[in-house]
Amino acid sequence: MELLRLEEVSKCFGTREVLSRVSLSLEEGELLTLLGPSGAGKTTLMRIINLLERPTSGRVLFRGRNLLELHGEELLELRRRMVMVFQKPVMFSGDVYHNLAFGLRVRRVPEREIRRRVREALELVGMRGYERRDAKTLSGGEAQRIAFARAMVLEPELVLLDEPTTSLDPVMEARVHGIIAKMRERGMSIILTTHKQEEALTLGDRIAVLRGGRLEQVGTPAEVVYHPRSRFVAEFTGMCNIYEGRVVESVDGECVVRVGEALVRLAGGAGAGERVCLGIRPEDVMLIRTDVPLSRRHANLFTGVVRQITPRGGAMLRLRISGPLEVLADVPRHVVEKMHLHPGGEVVFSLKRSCIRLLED
Amino acid sequence: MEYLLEGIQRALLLLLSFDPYVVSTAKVQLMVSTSAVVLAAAAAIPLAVAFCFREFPLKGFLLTLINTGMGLPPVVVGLVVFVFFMSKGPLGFLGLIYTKEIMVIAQFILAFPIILSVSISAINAVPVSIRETALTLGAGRREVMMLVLREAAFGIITGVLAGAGRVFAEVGAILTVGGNIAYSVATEQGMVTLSKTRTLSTAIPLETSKGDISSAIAFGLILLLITFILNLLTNYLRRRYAGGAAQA
Amino acid sequence: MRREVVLVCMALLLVIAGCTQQVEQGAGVGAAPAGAEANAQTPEKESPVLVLATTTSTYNSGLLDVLNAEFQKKYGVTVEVHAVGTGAALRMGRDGEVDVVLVHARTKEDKFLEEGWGINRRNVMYNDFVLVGPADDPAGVRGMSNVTEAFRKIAEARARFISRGDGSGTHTKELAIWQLAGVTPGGEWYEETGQGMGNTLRIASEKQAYTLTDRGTFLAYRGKLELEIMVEGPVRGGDPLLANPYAVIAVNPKKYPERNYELAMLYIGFLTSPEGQRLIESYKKNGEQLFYPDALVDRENYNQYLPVTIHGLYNEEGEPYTGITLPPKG
Repeated sequence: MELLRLEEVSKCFGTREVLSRVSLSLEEGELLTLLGPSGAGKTTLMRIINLLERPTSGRVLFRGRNLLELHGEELLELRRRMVMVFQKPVMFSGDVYHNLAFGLRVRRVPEREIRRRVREALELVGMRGYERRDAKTLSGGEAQRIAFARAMVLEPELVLLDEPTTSLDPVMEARVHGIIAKMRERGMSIILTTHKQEEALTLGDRIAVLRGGRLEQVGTPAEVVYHPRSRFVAEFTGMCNIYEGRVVESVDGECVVRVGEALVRLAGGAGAGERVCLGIRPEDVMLIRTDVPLSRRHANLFTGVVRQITPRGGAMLRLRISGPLEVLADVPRHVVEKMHLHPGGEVVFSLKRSCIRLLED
Repeated sequence: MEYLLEGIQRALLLLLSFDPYVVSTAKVQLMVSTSAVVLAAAAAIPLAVAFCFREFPLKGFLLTLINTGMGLPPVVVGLVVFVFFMSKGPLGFLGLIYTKEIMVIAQFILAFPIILSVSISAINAVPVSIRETALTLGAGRREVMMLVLREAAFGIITGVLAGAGRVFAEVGAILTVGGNIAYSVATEQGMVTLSKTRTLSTAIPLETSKGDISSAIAFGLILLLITFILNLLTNYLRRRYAGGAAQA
Repeated sequence: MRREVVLVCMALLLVIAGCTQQVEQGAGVGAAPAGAEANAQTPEKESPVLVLATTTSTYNSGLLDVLNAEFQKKYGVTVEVHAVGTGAALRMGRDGEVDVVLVHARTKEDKFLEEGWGINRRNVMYNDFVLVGPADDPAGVRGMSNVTEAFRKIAEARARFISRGDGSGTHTKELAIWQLAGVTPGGEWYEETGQGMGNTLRIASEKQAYTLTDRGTFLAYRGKLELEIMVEGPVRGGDPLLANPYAVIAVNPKKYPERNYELAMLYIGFLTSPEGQRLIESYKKNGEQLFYPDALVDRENYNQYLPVTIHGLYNEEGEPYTGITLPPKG
């Protein structure tokens, strides 16, 4: 079931357009990540959904009802079904209990029930027994978790998380991801903004990429990663090998593009003579063993020199290779070891035709 | 030096024996100034909230006016109130001149702008993010206001106490409108002077000019004590609100 | 930043310099040995200073300025005036803060002399008090020749009476009259303002009450008040009890050797001399004579040299003691 739908939402601050005709929808139980660089309009979009900001035009439908046309009690009732956690959460003065109880008290929840739910929420974020702590004396990470608890305790249908991990170290980030998983277990739908592609990809059921107030692409992680619509989406989702060139030949849904000195063959229709932009993800760069005969399957073969080898986490290594075609390649460590690759050494690699994407500029 | 010691000694004696003149004067001061501050706070705090939560034309200009009001010279306030309430004045028919009521009015006018102005800046100093957090947690307009008031409580209390400090120390206005009047009654212990509209602050210059230094010191000591208590109160509330375990 | 620091330092230096200068001046006055030798020792441009405490009425009337200017011209002595109430003026004398006092409260003066704080009291001048009240005169005292009777009637009628209640000469006189009337004033009808004559008159007018005032202040405020004269004082042929005699007293040099006794006596001599008396006689404000000279006698007035406690409140003929040389009857 659809929980939230944005239709053609635009927002101007004076003459500056921060959001331009953004349309989006969110299913119940779904986690949507809003990915984009800072200044892309992610926070403004969240604030519009949370009614902290009014859009200049467009509609915001929550369970099919336009929030912008509601007033008074009705509006309050709907907005109480969602809650936002700010990037830099502020604590009310008083103790942690007061902070967590606030939202429940305005909902007229009986005090005994409040006590139970506050205790539960604190346990969920791993801060059991913090009720009487002065909220203003919490550390940054503690305050962040209390802010999560303060939202979760309300058992909302929709949680808006604005850059929840931006200012956190990796340990705290993992902890926050754990809390988000618990929110999902409880059936909460979530919209999360981030500028980290990995976070967007691992957490999101779907990803919406924002650029300069426009929605570039919406899709599942696989769709966005493997079929980026634009150069911007490609760059932002980790497709780091992007080249500009001119189509020199186009036959039967295949074409050959000249990139500098190199000729790249790829699947895709483009007219001869056209200027195009193409990209390939680092993990789709194949290293070729030269001690065995080359198979015909290997097209787009290039030679180059390894310039740098950097660990990428897990068992992957990233190689920077220079040559007629400069590439970054992510390669399993055991392969690198088996091939005795080292900086300065020569290497042959292949770009798989079906993995090369033509990108809108 | 001898004078001072003797003055203090006799002043303490007056205080400890609950001298009726001293007690009644202190009572008038407390009644008048406390009522003025309580009324001014009751009027100024809701007004400050309304001021901060609403937009209207000339808001900046109005704020400047309010801030100017903080520095109203008490003597001028006294004069204006007197002119309005004197028997030939426009409000003379009320017959309030030289009563405690009119002293409350004059001191109200002195305390009100201070409490209003300090409360407005205290409320404005509460970060917008507090309001937005309250909104996102589902608070209605009223609940947001109450929360912001709570967050601004320390500043507002400071304002109220500043207003109190001003009216307790003030002589000019209450002297003009109150008349510094005392009366005498016959009792078993003989004639006793009692205050009608005489306060500690107006009695001090009087007793000094009469040459009765020890009475002046006694009044001064009570006034000091009141100021001291006001400051204790400020400190206590500061500790309570600026980080105590307040449960509201 | 550095410039500001320099400025602050300079300001501090100026302040300190100012203070030391003041201290030096003060020390000069206090430590100056009395008499002509002192005059000879002090540099020419620094004239000797006489410190006088007096009541606001003499000072505000402007009379003292005329007298002191003449005194300065004649003897080269500057008079430094502390204009306070009679009570405070006598306290300053008792504390040795001044050389001479000019006051008007006979019973307090007597106590001051009895205790030995002052010596050589002389009558200087007098004016008079009047009893004023609202035009409708609720106590029915208008035109009475005996102020004591009038006070008694006011008390009986419990008509509102406003007292200065500030220990001033006027207040002292009022209390003396109540005492003569055999009334201890008290109760809601009798209120004290603790303020000066002007404010007390204003309050009496607002409250439509009786009050005792010196004639000069009443004349000055009359236009703004809704009060009328009920009982006249001796200046207009009324009750001699309402006389308001001013006296000058030197601070006892035996108690305060550091005070300038010679200058004080010089001043007393000047005020009571024919010249000083002439100046008082001829001093007018708004065409009205404010003070009547009373130092030189052409008839017997031995009482002025005796304290009230000795000669009593009444003379042998049963007339109340006034302390002034009354103008001959008729």
